[in-house]
Amino acid sequence: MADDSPPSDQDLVRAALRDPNAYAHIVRRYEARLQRYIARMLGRGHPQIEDILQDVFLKAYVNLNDYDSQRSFSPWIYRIAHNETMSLFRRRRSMPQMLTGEDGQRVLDRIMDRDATEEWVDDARNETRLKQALSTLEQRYRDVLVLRFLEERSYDDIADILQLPMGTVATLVSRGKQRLRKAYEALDL
Amino acid sequence: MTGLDRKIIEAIGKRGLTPRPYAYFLARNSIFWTLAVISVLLGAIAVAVIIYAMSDFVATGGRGFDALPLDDILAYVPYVWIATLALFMLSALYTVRQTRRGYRFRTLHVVSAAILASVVIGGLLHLLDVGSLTHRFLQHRIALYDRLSLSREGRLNDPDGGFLAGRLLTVEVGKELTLQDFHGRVWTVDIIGAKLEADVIAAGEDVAIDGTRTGLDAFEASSVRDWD
Repeated sequence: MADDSPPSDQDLVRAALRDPNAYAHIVRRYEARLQRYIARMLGRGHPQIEDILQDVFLKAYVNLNDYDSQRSFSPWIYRIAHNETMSLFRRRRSMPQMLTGEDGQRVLDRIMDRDATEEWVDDARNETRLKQALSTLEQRYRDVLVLRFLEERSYDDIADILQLPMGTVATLVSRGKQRLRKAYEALDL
Repeated sequence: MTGLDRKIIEAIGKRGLTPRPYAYFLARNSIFWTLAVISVLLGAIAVAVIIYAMSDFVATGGRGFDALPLDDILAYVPYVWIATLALFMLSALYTVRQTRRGYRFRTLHVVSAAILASVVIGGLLHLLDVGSLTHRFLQHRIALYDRLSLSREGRLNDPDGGFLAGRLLTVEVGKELTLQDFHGRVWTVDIIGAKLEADVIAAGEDVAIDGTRTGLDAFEASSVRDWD
């Protein structure tokens, strides 16, 4: 009986190494996820999202043999996306935008264990407050908060994506949460 | 294929891109691990010299110390080698970080492991005399090192301060020695009444002598000790 389950990432990587056309499967599988992730870092509607996405896939293809098939493929390609996006900021000597209101709100919901349908979510004043609070966070805290609470990545994956020790990731997530909460609440005073 | 996937496949074909061979990444990873090992080994040599310098401090019993010995003790600390060790530990950290999974290790763990390995290997190298050989090798070839390291040879070759050291050329038992100090100067040393603490006093041996300078190239010994 034929196995109908979709091929694993590892199978697709092996196939792409044999035949470049097979790489299209990987592109299709990760296109939407990476586009969303890059948009979260660049800001929605940024004109260079697609350029970066293309660069990510081309770079991943050239470095396909660097992928360790014993580990998950997803953090590996996310890492390339993260590095490519950050290098754009370095080239432009600018910093990533703060999270947009909706994404930022979702981070805060998850951090504060609130129900996203609560009344305050729609409150424009709260959104402004949240933007202000997020803008006070350092980039490294924003990086881990996005990956943890929006991309819903495990600490292990975040460690691979940001190339940090797992203990450091846990510390950054914990401090990032505290700082965001503190900054948000301070704006209420 | 209709969208981005088509663009990517076309770009791969147009630019003639191919995946870099696995051997490239293997070699890159191996190079960084090798550099990390070399850093630890160089750190071990630094440790061997530090042990040598500190054992010299113990062996000479703080010779030349006055009533307030802190400045003398500080003068004996091998700063150059401690700084060298720190440099190689940083180099080990950097190179481990460049390896494929090196980012997973915490800085404290990498540095602690590198220091521990350097200390253990350095201890073994000290037993093989690598510390003293390295020290002398650098001392005779690099003038700056000699000045920076406040070498034992420099400190114990101070006839006006009551210290003389070097290689014995001739020995007249109970009477007199001739000795060539580490700067090449030949001294005649009166050993009548001197306390002989060295295991072997014979031509070709290195000794450290306490006493008083009595002439241009003459010295009266109060004690003669082994150099090592």
